[in-house]
Amino acid sequence: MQFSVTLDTHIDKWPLARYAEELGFDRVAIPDSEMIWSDPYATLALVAANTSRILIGTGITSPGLRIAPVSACAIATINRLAPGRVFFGISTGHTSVRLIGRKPASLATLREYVRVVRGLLDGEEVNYPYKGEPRLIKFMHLDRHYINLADRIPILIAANGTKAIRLAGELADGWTTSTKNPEVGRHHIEELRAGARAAGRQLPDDFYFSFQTCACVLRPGENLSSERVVNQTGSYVTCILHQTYEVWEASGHKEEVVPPFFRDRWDDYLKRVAGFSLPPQARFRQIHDGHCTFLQPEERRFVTPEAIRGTCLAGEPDEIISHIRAMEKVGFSGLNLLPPADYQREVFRDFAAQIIPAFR
Amino acid sequence: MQFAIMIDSHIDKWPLIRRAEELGYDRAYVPDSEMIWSDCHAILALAAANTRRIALGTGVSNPGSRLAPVTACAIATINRIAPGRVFLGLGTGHTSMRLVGRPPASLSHLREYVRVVRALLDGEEVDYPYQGQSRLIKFMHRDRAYLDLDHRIPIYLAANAAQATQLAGEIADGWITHTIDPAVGAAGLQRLQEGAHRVGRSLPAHFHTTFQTTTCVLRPGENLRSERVIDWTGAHVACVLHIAWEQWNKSGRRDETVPRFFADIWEEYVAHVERMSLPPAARFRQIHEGHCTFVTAQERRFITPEAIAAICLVGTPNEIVGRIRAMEQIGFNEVHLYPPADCDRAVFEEFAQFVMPAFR
Repeated sequence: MQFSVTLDTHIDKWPLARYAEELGFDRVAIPDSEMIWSDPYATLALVAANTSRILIGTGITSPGLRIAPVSACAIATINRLAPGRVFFGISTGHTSVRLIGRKPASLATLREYVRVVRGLLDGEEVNYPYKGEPRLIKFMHLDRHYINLADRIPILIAANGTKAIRLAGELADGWTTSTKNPEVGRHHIEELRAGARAAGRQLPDDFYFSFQTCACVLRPGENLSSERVVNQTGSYVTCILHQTYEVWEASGHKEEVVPPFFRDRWDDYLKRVAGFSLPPQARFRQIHDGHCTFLQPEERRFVTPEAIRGTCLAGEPDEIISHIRAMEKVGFSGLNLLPPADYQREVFRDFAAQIIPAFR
Repeated sequence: MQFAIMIDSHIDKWPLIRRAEELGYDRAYVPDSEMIWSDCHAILALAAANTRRIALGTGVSNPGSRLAPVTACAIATINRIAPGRVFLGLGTGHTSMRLVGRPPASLSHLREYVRVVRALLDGEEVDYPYQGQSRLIKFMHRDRAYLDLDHRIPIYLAANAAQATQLAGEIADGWITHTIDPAVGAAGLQRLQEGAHRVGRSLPAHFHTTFQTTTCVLRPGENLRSERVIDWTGAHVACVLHIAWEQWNKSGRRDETVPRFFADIWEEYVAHVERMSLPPAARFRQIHEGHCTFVTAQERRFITPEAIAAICLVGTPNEIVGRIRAMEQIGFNEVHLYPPADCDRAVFEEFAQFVMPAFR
């Protein structure tokens, strides 16, 4: 099992990546969301320069922000600073596009983007058409080491939907998903393998199957209503809540897309969104305020024990360890923690001290 | 008079920016061209973290590589590391676009891009339409200092043609151009004023005006045919030659677009391009091989004394000082040097030693 952390992308926070390395984490993922955080490649440059072992990369970026050659160049630049320690995580985009009022990319766009990035990172000549006409592009000046293509950069796709999961099986080197439920996870992995099979691909042994969650190791006397537990899980739970709202909205308001652990407060949440002050063409800023960073104070009531239990690993060390074992058993090889920005050190420390040793 | 450097964007080269700071240079331009160099924001992050005084920025980026909000986030991230020392240089794009087989952006695209970036950097809510529909976007999580918008980031536009130069006068905080000819420079400054006048703007006294060239202080016995002089100017001259070819080609191959100093070699150069082995869909890679980095062995013959004399500041220290004074007199307040990659440090050292003291 590999253990990974995702930070809010803050240019000042490279010491936190070094701290995660010291604690024994295997990876640090730097997300890409330009309206709320710092630039991921500037941050990764400082992370790369100040760490020596931990794997680092985007976690995650999306096709709608930079043209594919720019992303390939940027991640291969980081690979020059941290040779062989770099991965490229990508998906259709969430807040990076929603917070500028756009939609996530289609899977066709994601597929095409990955094709171009992969070809370039492999040092190949790639057809990168412009207005339907072929353009044969290739990284140049390679002997001068502006970028490092010699140490292969794996591409990870983040996906929760069936088609996207199949795409990951078809063309990625790894996959990350946001469930902690072993049954859901098992089903996802079957889909991923089906995607690989459909493409005539044999998944390599080191294909990275990972899931994202948040963790809180309970202290004596604590339960899921405790202040500290809500603090340490709150922005993760509401991040899932906001995303659920987007999925519900895109589904044409189908109640069945709402996970059971949000159902008892769902009407309340819809009322809250309906009461937001910004007009429709700006409302996304209120929906996603605090995204994976902090808990909006008015949304504390949505961080219920059921929601925490449904989205996070919160419990005694033994409970958390056996839950991770259950995920490992269905095929997961990595776990990624995304705690609120104000509690990262504490969450990382507790997890490294009380959970990771059981897997070493 | 201010003095600046421009380097090939190499992730290993931030120490050169620190050296330039020690030598007394005022500003460092880090260009953005993803097919031949490293990611500009990754380098700027390391340069910002390792310098204290020198101004830093893109020199130049363009609208076609990243969305406007991504560029605004990235440069404001660097401004967090180097508060108040950061600028954003933008042009329509040259090799960043041509080396992926695309044309430079239109001026209306550049104008719209600057509008969005400027407003975001000013912390404002800005309309960033999507498919013709209004979207009101704004940087969020400001109290957490992911970005620095408090220290204003000036936007400099790179322009040589009349309309682009007028646009700089209309909307920018500075103008970057490529000439050492006072007559050409004066005409450009006139265009700048026209653009400003058009929108009822009076250019501030500190409006940044900079011209790009490179330099070589001749040693006893050297002249414009000396190997060292060709080494020190070759990549820069070849870069101008390649642009001249693009402009000539775009004009419908009108010979009057070719600068006089290339007249003697033009026919041979055109024949050289015709003989290139790659198909039209990839030919740009051979045309721009070595762009502002090195001169290819086959193109060394095009680095003639006429071209060097017209494009670069070559001569005794007094001659070079005199030519910079002439540019200063007509209104330029900075010269920036863009030498070939293999001699950049030596050029910066020599210029700092022999030329800059006359202005301090």
